[in-house]
Amino acid sequence: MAIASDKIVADVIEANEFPELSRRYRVSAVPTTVISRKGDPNGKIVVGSIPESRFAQEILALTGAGDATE
Amino acid sequence: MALIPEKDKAYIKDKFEKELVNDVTIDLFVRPESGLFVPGRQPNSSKETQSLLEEVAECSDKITLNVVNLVDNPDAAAERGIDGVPAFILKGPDGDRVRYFGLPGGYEFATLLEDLSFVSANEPSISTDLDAVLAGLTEDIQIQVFVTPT
Repeated sequence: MAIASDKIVADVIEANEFPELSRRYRVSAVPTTVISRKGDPNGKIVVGSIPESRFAQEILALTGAGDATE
Repeated sequence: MALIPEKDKAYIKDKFEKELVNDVTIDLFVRPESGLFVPGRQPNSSKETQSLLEEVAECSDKITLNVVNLVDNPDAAAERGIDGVPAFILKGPDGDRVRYFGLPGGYEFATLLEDLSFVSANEPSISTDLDAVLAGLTEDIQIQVFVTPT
């Protein structure tokens, strides 16, 4: 997605090497994905693999353009 | 001692030969360990990450590795929005929005190889539906994926 859009930055984070960041988002299993507005420490946390449709829903919900899943 | 076995390097060289289109730069930010214990400072894999990426860069003339040592240049990481080390940014023809934090070990190494190909080719592998959602974005989004080298 980061390649497709200049509005998205994608970070791959090795959880064991960044324990404080992992604790902030309560990472207890991988993959855990956090989708947030740039600069906002809060975001939607999703555990497990995410299909593209879910990514689209979460991004739309974050930007106020759609409904997120629970 | 090489981190990537020779037979794997041969595979990687062949993969890059077939898949890399444009040049890719890897900007790596490191803070090598001094051997001293510094209270509050977490040890990091800067040395191993640099060694690994050096071997990856050797597999293609289209890949350039730039290493920024934060001991010599402490502000360089913050200027690029990097707040932890080791970290590296994949920079291709259309930008530098794919970032890695920590050593890309295990299955994440395969992910890195794929990302290098995607960044170089500037061809994302997403559906048209998702592409349409992304095209409508008006604010910057950050996606952080936490992984472990399993």
